[in-house]
Amino acid sequence: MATTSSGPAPESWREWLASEQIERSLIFSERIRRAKRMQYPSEIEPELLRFLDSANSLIRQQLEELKSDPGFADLPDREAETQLLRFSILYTHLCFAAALVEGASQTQAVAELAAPLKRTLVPVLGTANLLLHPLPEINYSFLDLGELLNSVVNEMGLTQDALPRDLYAVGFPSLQEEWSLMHCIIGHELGHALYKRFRMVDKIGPLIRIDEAKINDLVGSIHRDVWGYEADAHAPVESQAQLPLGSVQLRAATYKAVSRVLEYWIEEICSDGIGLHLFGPAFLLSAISFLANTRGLDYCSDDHPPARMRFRILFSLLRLRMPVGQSKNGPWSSYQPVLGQHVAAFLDTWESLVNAADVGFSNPYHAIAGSAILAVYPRMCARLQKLISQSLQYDIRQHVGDIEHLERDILLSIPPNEVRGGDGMRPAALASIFNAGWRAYLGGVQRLAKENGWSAWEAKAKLNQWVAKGIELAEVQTRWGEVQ
Amino acid sequence: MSIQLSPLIKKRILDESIPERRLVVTPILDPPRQLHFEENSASIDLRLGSRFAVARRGKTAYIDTNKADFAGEFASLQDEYYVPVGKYFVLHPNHFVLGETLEYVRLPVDLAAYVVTRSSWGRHGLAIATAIGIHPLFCGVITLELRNMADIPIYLYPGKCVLQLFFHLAEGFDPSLSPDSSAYRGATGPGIGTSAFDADEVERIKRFPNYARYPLRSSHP
Repeated sequence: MATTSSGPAPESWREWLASEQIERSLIFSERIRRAKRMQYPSEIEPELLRFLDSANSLIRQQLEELKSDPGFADLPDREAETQLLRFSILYTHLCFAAALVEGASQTQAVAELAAPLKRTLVPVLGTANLLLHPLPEINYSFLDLGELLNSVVNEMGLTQDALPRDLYAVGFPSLQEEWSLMHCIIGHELGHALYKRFRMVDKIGPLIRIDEAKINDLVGSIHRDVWGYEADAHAPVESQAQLPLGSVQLRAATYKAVSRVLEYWIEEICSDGIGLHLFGPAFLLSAISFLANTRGLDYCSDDHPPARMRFRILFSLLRLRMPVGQSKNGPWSSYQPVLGQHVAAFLDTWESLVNAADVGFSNPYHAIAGSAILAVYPRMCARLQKLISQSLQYDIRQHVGDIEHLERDILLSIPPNEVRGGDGMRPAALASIFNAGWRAYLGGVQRLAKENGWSAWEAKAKLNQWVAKGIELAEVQTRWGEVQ
Repeated sequence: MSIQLSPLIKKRILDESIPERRLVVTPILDPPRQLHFEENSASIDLRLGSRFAVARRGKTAYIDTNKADFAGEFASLQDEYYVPVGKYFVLHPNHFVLGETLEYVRLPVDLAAYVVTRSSWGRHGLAIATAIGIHPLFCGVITLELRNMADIPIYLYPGKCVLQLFFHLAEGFDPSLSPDSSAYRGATGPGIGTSAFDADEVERIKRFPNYARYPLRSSHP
């Protein structure tokens, strides 16, 4: 802290820091005031702003009290500093949440998605609040915003009612905001919420076994590189006391690193599975289109498995959901009556591409984690299939008629919002809209372009706009039905 | 062109047997009311949609329709608002904004239509459409040119029936002619059209000789 002539006197540094913090809260108030003037696509953003506003007022009040408390001056330095700095940590969370809300005001193009996505989660979670916000990078993201802001709730002594329950922030790539079909990927992001709720890690995790021999090989090779001689890495665990301390630590660290990778990868794979259960084949199509175009098939990191492995598992899961009586390993074209000609052909092409090479990993830890998953993935798929509740499942077999109807509408330049049923028209399910959109996208762009005098790109853009419109109108129809 | 009464229109909307003759108006949230099941009305009612486009006055000095990319430039100077059904948009006196119908409309080859403000709204000062004709084979939401001509602000609620569509039978469709590829085709939100300001026409008008420069002399003594 600089003590210039205009700076604080050394004896009053605590008061000065407290005043600075109070000023920060005033700046934040101004920010919230500006944010409140913006337009938001749903109710959750203003509600969250009210929470941020009240948390900020409470912080300011506590700071004022602290500053005027005579005991504050007598506190030991370290304790006084801790008292003040805990507010800084809270502001990090508050500012982050405020930025997400401000971003949501610009998401007019995906505004229609928030309500139906929330509707998808409510049967499983009971409540759900989704905040959709744009990301500068080409990626989708998920954040349990409620969990993040809980620290503010607890620290400020607020009741749990102060914060909307089941509050999730889902990011989408701002570049592809209007590419509605791609937003099926959000099924994966919602999967993260459900993964935690279903405690899937407890049910899928026990299936996975880390290969002891591979760990030993890795420890041995690191040992050779570091210590320059061969350790008896294959020795049984009880004899490891004879190994140098470094070697034992290395073994534990290797286990820890692989387990950490596995923990993240299993969550990603299960979230993929949930996405597939939410939106059917459309999810796999958008996953292929997005992942293969963003990072390539064999890119992986500590928290994301390679796309090639994810696709293999998704293909297996999708096969489990295809009509019985067909060959389980037959080509997708044998499911043409369910999938449609163009989707089946696309899946055939991509499955052979995915299977054309072994899954590639970027380091030995990833390789051990990956091989542990690949060894059991058929059992993983079967268990995942069982775990996900019936209410969550979108069974394409029961919606073939709807999808065909909606696809026909799209090819006639009509948004896919309703299907004939019973006495009249009924709103289409979100998943059916996505699936019909993908069918039309893969098989009808040329026709749309030709009939309307558009370029292929213009036809694709229009198709995505109609899908978004279909989602918006179906939601209005559903809500209209609910209030009648 | 004969005007089509609502019972005929209802039949055309419900009949999907011949795609070329199918009239699409979707969604119709309240069919008896919007299609006038109980009366021989000459129109059907449409609702206000959720998207509004508002010009940023502070950034827009003027509109020069002769500029090459005038439409794109003008569109980029507009803010789009999404107001969900259940919320409102305030239209102030003399304020002009673009809106949209909630319904997506697709006309068959033998129908044209006219957009007219519902009289009860018109009497409160709301003008909804100034370019009101819709051609056969049009498809898209209908862009509304909303203006409050009264002295008092009006709350506009998406989902409310604010306009009516009158249908006319159109004859003489020639399938050999190319489809209408206007920018409005297939629109899903309020849009700025360009078809009336195409580049060739702009160039031709710019090249018009300026006769006022020549001395005005009479050839006769």
